[in-house]
Amino acid sequence: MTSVRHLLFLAIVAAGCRSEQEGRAPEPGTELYAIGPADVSEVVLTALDHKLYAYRWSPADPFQIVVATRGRTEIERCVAGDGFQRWLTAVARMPIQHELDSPFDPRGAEWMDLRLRDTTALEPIDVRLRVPSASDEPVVLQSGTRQYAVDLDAAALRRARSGCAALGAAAVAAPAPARR
Amino acid sequence: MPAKRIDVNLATQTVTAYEDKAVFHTCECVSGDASHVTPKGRFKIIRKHHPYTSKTYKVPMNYALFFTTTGVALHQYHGPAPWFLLRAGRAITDTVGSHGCVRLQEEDARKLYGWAAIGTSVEVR
Repeated sequence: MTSVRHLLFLAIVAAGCRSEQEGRAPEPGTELYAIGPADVSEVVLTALDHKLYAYRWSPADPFQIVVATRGRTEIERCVAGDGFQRWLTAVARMPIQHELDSPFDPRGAEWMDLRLRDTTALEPIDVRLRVPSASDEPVVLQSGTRQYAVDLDAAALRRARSGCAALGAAAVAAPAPARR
Repeated sequence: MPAKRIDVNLATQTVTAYEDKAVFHTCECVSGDASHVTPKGRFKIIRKHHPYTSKTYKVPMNYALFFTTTGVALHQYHGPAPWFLLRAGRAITDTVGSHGCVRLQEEDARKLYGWAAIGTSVEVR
């Protein structure tokens, strides 16, 4: 009799078990991620023709920025200024507007990969963004196979392409060669 | 702006969200098991992710509100067993539970995720 009860219990459990309803699109306004800008310790932005690396050893320090641009031999270096702080604040949260019905080809010069790492042991935030050159198009975020229009100022994001001229407070002079 | 805080009561396995002294939402939860006890103390929400899949455990953790630097979060429960069975199991033994995170039903997780901001206080007691 006991084994019959056990079997009955297991049958109920099995019937009650369900596959999770994964894949429901987040509602408009949902933040796909959010992080405190003051906690960010490293930013990596990679596009086809542009790379930006910003880091600081502690939240009390200013960011050091390194920018490389295709076609330019020199690497820009500067200390972050207000422009970078505004840019970082803009990308520190990613509220969505809606899911795109017709996704863009997730390749091309308008796409960039963004990584944000903070001082914790948490996994870094990795996202792929399309920052349009046209002002009337939204910024698009690729998440898995889905694309979302996100509530971000494209002009603010495009500022990163201007490198230290838009983001820096002061250029860092290249070190002088050592005397012998 | 009202002060927001989240109270996680391990004894009653409940979560209550407050705006100043008013209750915004209260719900059931299931916390860490006996081998992975949810840490007690005062914390803040430091990271939000939705949707989210843990690269460490390779499991979904949607509506994740991280409040420790080691990855403990309030998040949606995704297990195969129905919620009532998980709760019933937890009521019998603390060997039933998470790896330290605070599991919530989807609607509760969704509501808290939309409400809480980076910096919202979390007290686990």
